[in-house]
Amino acid sequence: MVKIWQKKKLIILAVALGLLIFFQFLGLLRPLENSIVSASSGLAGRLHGLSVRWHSSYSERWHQENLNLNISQLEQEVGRLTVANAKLQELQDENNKLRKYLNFLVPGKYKYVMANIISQPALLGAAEAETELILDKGTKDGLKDGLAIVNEDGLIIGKIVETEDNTVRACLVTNYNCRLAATIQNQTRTIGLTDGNLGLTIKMNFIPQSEKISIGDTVITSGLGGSIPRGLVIGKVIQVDNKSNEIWQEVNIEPLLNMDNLTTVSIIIP
Amino acid sequence: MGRRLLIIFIFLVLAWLIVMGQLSLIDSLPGFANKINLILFFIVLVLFFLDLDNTLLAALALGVFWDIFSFAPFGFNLFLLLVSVFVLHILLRNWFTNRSFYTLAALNALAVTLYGLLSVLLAWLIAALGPDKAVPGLIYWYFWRDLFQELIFSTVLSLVFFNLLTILGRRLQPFFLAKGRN
Repeated sequence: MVKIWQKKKLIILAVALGLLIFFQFLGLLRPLENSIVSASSGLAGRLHGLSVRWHSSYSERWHQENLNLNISQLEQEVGRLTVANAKLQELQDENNKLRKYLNFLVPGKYKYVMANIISQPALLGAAEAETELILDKGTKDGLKDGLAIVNEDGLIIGKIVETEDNTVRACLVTNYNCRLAATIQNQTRTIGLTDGNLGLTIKMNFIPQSEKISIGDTVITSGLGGSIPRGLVIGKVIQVDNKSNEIWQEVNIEPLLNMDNLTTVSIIIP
Repeated sequence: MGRRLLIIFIFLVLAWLIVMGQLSLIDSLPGFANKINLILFFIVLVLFFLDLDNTLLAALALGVFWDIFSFAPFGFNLFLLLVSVFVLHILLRNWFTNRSFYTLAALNALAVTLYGLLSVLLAWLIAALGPDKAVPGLIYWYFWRDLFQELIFSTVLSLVFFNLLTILGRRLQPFFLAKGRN
């Protein structure tokens, strides 16, 4: 009798599972899913924020010994960047004036959609190199695959790889599945594709040996082949691997943002 | 009927909170802390303290919420959770004779291992149906590292939870009956 009941239960569950999958496939569950996701995004955002705060305090405590060294390095960097910024400001003013003279349209600023990170899935067996984000905006907000995700400073974080009505899945630039068309700001404006390297840095391969790349060169998006505009900063070159017996050289790029403190991001709609 | 509906409602609310806690809070925690699997732990607790019917109900609620927030094909987590519940139920009925800490820890370890292996194999099967080359996650060292870390955390969680219950309640006692006493 018990065995018959167990069998019956198994059949009921299998039918329920099958029906759920079938209804989902037909899109009948979509309104329910959307309302659950919408209702949950507030709580999810807060929980993720809490997690990020714990993460930050943990990192700060963990890396306290390096902080003093970092501060002095950053002070030097701030000084250098202030000078560079002043020069750029002048150039910008000059550029604006010249555009007016030439009656050019000043390029409009990008259209952004702000989104909260609601999850950073840590799948069992997924390497750090496959780190992803789930955001609380989706196709209903005009998002689609391939769009760039940036932080508040305009540094590119990653791009959208999958969309749903109310959520999107995005890969980080350090994810080895996240490829971006990039340009190195050297003399020859070397172009190529970047992808993540062990979830920590970014690498750019298949660069001809004739290209001259220096450590410290800035790498930006090239704007080629996709929905990502040109000029978003990816990172700085920290290592150039150019063995004389190789056809290509490879560069290692350090992303300029701290991925651990992200709670809110912007998606650029071209 | 009213009681049953209340239980279903409680399971739905708990499942929503647990899935939110897992995906938004625990998964983003630093270090090894993100290896805690609250979803599996809750399922094992329900199976340990209640019965198969309630565990299936919990697995159904958890699986649906998990699938809604996950980008895996719908039904992926739900199917794996239901299979895991059935296997754990069979093991609990046939292998374990009491409700001790050791049973809870062993069930948790089995749940983590079973779910980990099944999810990687199912993901591989799904990927193999697609156009890209599919490689089973079992061959990567970090899969085994993560599984090991999850096993450690599930055991620690069992230890903390079971001892907390023995302090708060009287039904569970963390000792074996010693031969020759009384």
